[in-house]
Amino acid sequence: MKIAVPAVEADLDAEVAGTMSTCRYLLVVDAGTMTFEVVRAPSEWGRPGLGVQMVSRALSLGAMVFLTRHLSPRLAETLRANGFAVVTGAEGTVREAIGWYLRCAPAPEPAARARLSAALGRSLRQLVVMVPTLLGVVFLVGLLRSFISKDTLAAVFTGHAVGDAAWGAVFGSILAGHPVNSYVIGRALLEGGVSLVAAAAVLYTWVSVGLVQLPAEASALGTRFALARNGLAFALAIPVALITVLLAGWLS
Amino acid sequence: MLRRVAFPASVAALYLALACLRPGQAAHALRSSGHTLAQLAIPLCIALTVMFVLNLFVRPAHISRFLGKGAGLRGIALSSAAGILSMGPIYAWYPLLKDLREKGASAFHLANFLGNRAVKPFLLPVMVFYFGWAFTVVLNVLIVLGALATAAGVSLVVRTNRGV
Repeated sequence: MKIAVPAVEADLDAEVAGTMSTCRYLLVVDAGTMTFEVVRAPSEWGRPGLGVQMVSRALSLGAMVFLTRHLSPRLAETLRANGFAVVTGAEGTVREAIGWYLRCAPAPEPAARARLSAALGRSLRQLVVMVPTLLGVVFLVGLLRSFISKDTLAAVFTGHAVGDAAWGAVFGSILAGHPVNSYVIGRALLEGGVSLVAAAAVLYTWVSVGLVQLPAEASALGTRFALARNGLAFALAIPVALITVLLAGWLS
Repeated sequence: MLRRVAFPASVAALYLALACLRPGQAAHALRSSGHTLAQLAIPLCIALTVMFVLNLFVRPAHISRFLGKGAGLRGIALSSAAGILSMGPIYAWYPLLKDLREKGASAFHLANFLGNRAVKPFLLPVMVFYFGWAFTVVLNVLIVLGALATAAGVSLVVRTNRGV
């Protein structure tokens, strides 16, 4: 079992660091052999988001437990939702903290049962996260069905295949959220008399193009990358929607 | 948590307001929404089952190892598989993608990963239920091909930028 511990130095006898965002080293320790790998903080030490970045590196090294003095509730919740154990309140050196954890940690469940319960817990949490917005979308779509007439929809989606695909792509790019919401909206558009081409464009762009998350993507992967990827995906939405409807009609 | 319920709470408030102003139409909207929810129940149960199977066998750490490994067709297949199998909000993936890019993962593989996230294996039952088999199969195949085309374009743009 690999345990990630933030430390003030890259050493098992170094003190456990106060918080993830200010630690300089994250030690990924194999609790069986007490050998360890070190994730070093990048040069821009202390800036926001550094903790998340270091935790991602520790995950890729196989850490399954995060043992720390303090961890932000948001990061702890995300880790737990992904099946990782988070233990706070660790004191002393890294070696002492791991010893404390191994003595106090609950007895391990049989591996197969632990995996099953972790997978079930994670799936239920993913569903619970998805449900409030889905409920909101379903009830909002119900309202729109009652209050927006087919004539109003027809004023935007005129029945011209390329135009409908373009409008669908615009809506899909602006709106964001869980993809299941795009299915509900796409289906409501169909029931409102809008063409399948428009629904296909909404579904394609909902995840492929993200105006809302564009700044975050640009910050992580570069402005040119983010603009090119989103722009190209938007441009492709129209031919993809047209070909989908053509081929689906031919197949069915 | 508050942010999560803010949207459905706003919709509930809208219903209350409209129930006072246009009770007939609001009741019709409520019935229509209830009907949609009832229709969604079975596909969502199947989605939960698929989600459970994926969570049992696939971990984020495994997915991150797919990216940036292998050249040629193997690398493309791995980055496509990683995108299709990745779950959760995209924001959770950005730090990891940034890190992988700094470690040398190509713009092509990263863009291909992001494009393939539009294929949601656990939601396929819902998509089939709403749009039919033929539409679902064709759209998802085109999403994978579209991701490749987008990735090729992004790769070209980023390379051109570095060359200038």
